[in-house]
Amino acid sequence: MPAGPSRPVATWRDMLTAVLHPNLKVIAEWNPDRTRVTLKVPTKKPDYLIPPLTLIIRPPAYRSFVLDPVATDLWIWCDGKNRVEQVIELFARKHNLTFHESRVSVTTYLKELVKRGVFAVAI
Amino acid sequence: MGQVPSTPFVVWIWRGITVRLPGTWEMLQFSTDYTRGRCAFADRYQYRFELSWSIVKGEPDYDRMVGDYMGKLEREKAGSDLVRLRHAGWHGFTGTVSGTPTTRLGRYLPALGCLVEGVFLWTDRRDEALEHQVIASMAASPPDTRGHQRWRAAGLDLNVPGVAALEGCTLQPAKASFSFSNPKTGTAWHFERLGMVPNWFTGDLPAWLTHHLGPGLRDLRLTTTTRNGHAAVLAEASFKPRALHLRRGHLAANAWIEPADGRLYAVTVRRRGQHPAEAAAPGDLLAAAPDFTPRWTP
Repeated sequence: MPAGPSRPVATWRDMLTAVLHPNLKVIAEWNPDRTRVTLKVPTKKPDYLIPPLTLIIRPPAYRSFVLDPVATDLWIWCDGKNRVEQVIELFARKHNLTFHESRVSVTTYLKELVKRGVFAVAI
Repeated sequence: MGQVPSTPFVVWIWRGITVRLPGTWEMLQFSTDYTRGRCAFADRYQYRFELSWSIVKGEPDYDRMVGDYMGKLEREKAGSDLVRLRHAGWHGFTGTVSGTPTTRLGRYLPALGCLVEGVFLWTDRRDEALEHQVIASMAASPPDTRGHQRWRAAGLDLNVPGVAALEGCTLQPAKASFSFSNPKTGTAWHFERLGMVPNWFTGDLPAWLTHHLGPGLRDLRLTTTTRNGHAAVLAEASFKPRALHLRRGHLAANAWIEPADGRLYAVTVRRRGQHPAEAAAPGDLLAAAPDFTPRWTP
């Protein structure tokens, strides 16, 4: 019998039970028909930016992200109450995907949005 | 929320091996290797089942094979409470391996010349009924009367000529594709299943198929027809193979949107000559398998 895996079985249960909280400092601006949202994420002033440099270089106060329809849904669903598992299910239902098809899509998006400071993760 | 989609069991056929698994178990890892490989299936929380195959010279000495492996696990302190199993020609053991309740069963399938193994990774305790149901379904999938080999995975049900060898497979969210080729004749088969159709499809199937087939075609003829009561598009054209010295070949393609799961299916066959074993029309090579797509309850 060939050597099988003698390692603990991989599980992603912790990831699924995590809750994403929207960054409270993010400003969401919807278009008139509420189909697209632009998020303004406050930027952090770099440490090296001290007077008198600040008189010359003025970093923007916000970075803006225009969310596509998929990311817009995630912005709505990640309300600080839904677990990641529930968000994945909502996405799967909407697009008629299997759970793991949805998981891969949603987590890829969410990682990007967390990296950009839109969401914070609570485990 | 939390409603499990209603897909009871789904038949997978991979590398000539049939297995019937719960519909919520999805294939997350796979091997396209012919001689030795492994596919891993998971429910939404963890891996649940592994299917592996390995070409061997003949039926192994199961007692020795299983005994050696159990001894190895016990020596390495990776296994505990291991109990030998013999079930309907399958040999293996059950117990706790690396902290996970596990059942491991193997059998030589003469039709494939392979030792095939199924490994169950239980969540809390062994489910004997499920184990027996799955093991009973594991068998070789022989070629059909035309000599075609069947593959059934990720929503695609393929009946590929027996002379075709799997070249590649892509399983991504809302995109599954299989490529086969016959190195002797240069014929290539490509199968695709695309999801999230309303998000990107403009509603013009002939235009999509034309774009999908790419440039370099001559005498492209598109025909709209019906397939099982819904619209399908057939395409025929001649194409120039990449190598300069090769003559133009014949391309045939078929595409449709399956009403049962809303996914777009496409099959393309590029032939460089007339070979009876490769003569099947593209539409006969691919069928939708909507049972892979869950029916989400409201």
